[in-house]
Amino acid sequence: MHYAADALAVTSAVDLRAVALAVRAGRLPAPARSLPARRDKVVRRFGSALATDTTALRGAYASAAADSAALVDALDAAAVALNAPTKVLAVARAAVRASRDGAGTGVGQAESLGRVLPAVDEGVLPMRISVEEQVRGLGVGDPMLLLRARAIDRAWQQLVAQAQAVAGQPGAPGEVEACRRRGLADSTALGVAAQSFPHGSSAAAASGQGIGPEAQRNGTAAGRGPRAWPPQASAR
Amino acid sequence: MGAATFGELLGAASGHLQAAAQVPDAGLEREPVVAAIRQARRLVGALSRYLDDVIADEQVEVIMIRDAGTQAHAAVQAREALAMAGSSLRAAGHGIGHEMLRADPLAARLAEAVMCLRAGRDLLRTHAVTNSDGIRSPASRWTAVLTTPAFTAALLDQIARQSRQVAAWASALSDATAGQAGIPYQVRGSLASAHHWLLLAAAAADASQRRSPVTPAGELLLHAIPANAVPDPQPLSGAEPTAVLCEGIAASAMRLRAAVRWPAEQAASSPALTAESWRWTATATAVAADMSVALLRSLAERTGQAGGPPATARQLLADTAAAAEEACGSWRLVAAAWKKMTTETRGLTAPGVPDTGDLVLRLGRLAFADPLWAPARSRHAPVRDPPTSRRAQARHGRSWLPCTTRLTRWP
Repeated sequence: MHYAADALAVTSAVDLRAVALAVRAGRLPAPARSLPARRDKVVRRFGSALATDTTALRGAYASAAADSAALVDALDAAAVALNAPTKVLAVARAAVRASRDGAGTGVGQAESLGRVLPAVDEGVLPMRISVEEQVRGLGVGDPMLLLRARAIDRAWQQLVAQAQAVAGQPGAPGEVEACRRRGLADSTALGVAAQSFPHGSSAAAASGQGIGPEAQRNGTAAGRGPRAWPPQASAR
Repeated sequence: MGAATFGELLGAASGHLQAAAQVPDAGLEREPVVAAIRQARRLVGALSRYLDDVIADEQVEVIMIRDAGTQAHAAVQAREALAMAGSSLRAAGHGIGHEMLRADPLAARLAEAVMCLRAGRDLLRTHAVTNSDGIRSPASRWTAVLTTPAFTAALLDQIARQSRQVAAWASALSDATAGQAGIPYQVRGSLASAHHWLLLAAAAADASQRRSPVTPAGELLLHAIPANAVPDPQPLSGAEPTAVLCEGIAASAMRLRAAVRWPAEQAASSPALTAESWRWTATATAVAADMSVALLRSLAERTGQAGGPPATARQLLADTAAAAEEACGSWRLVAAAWKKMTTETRGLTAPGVPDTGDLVLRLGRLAFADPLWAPARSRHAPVRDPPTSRRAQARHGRSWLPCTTRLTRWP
């Protein structure tokens, strides 16, 4: 699971950059039926995708890549805590991060703090010096210690969020609120989805689309012809 | 995974050095001594080349910064001392002669150690690509690890240890050759000199530890670094036992990491990167995250039980499952966003697609009891190793299985 999440997080980061470049290069057309009518009345099958759609796509990728990275961070902490064989992945990542941050020198502490407390809203929760920051302040660059400090900070964050929920404070907003706090506009996929995406399983089931052999047999995958699952080894 | 690690090679080299240090007290002949000294010189050269690599990217720092406590300075001083030790050993070898050498157990041990050290350096060098201008660029995730202070501290520590081992061997040989017929007195002097310089090299390598001490993390990394080799594809072959599933996942993950190591700039023109591929990958990533939720919750429920994780890990696993759930939701939104756009080319042609497919299927078969699990079959598959409590079973039944079903019925 750790290996898988780790590899998929790398793929996510690559896809995030690749999609941004494809958008910039105009490589992503949209079907004409989904675009506003043109004044020249010329019939075309495809046109340039709307800026709002490409912005939403990039925003969704940015959010998803950040969540994948957060998942890997969480798995790192769990692997170290459980002494799992994959803890070497966590240690390697922490060592590189400590090296880049200049452990103990204060460089990169703000960035590191941002990773420890990704969902903390400064307007809601008072900022505090994290355990990781204190450890770094002592000049300790041991990745094991830094990982443990990060796990403690994460537990602190969780505890405060739970306490806020119990106290009825607006500290646990929904995804759209979280998205807004991350600085993404409402036009991102998250915002659009919050307004129009059918979340219920019945709505999803009604669409009759999916991946997998069953979808292939039904010819419903992505609304087009049959799609291979697992994918054919042509790219190997 | 089966790939050799740097630690295995270092351990083998240390074993051979320990064996070589058992120099017989008497009965040494001229030829075996010559052979052993020559192998020791090769060994010192092999150690020195590791230091060349440590210093390679720090030349400017060494010249510009007069602070003698850095790892780069320690490496430079240790390298100088090893060079002097090598000179002493060369002089010792010349003092005896250049006869044809026959095989000898003592020299053979040292030769084995040389081979292990050279193989270890070759292993490390697989993680970088050097172009015709001599500029190194990363070739794997471990490239960045090799330049971290934690790794360098552990490497310098190993070089110090092995320098001491060779020093002990030189001292033992020097004592053993005392009064041996056919071995000139100068040889003893040269061996004593080599012993002295090898100890100085060890002390120099140790000097940086005051500022950058060896940590358990550094030692772990030093021993775990594998050769940079992409495993062969491991296509699914029906029902697989858990160990094979785990190996297959690790192999697919390594292949996937290698497959996506291409410049993102190619995305602007590559016909292989299609909207279909991107959308499929987003969906597959969501499914993988959903599998992770199932596995993590199963683990969290079994904390404190016999054979399960410790009870203290319960909250941590629950938090990790929550992070996986959030990632799952985000990737579903990415796949939905692709509904409005396409690319000129079509098909699942992106280089990472086959390995992502294998990865997701094996993760699913790890999470669910169905050995032939596939996204479309998930509705009928119970969770593998379900929690014992009825309450937990009921909770899982509600939260996991419908979630996976939604994914298969999605976008």
